Amino acid sequence: MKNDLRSRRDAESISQEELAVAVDVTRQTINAIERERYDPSLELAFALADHFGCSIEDIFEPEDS
Amino acid sequence: MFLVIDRPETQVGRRRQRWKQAIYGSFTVGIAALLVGVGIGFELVGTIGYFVGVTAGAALCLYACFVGSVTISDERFSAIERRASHYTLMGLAYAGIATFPALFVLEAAGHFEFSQTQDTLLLALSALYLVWSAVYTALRIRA
Repeated sequence: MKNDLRSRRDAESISQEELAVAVDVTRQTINAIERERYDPSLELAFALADHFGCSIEDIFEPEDS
Repeated sequence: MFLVIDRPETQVGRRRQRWKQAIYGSFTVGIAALLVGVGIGFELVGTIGYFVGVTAGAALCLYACFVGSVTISDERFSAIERRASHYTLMGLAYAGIATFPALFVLEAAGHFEFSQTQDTLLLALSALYLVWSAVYTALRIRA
């Protein structure tokens, strides 16, 4: 799954760790999502979307789209 | 392979790291106590040290997961654990299915005889898959 988490995080000037604390996961998980090595659960995707004030589709899109 | 040392920049991150250090430290002390105890001939002391270290590590881990407010592990770690368990079980299943029936046939033909160790291994594998099947069935009924 492709995502623009890194650019959204950069736009807010927050670190991976700060985002991880905000959505209650580890920094390594945020790093893995940004590197597109891990697809988050719906629950975490909703938490990330909620944090950035957008919908899940704004952050994530399928690999083949 | 690079050794990455995490340097947390938030208070929550530092607290998480301290918890992890305490948990891994307890396990390490327990294992070291066992090895040193066996090495110098104090097996009982080593075993007690191992028990104390591992119990303390497990207790800290349970406390951190269910009572503490720090996220030690999350969904990605659970997913990795699930994959590791899946690959391990599948690997053992394929190895067992490929090996043991052939050995039974060879034994019946008089070309092979199961040793005590192989008997124990077969029993252990059977017990493992029996437990797995019971847990799988219970989860499937509830799902």
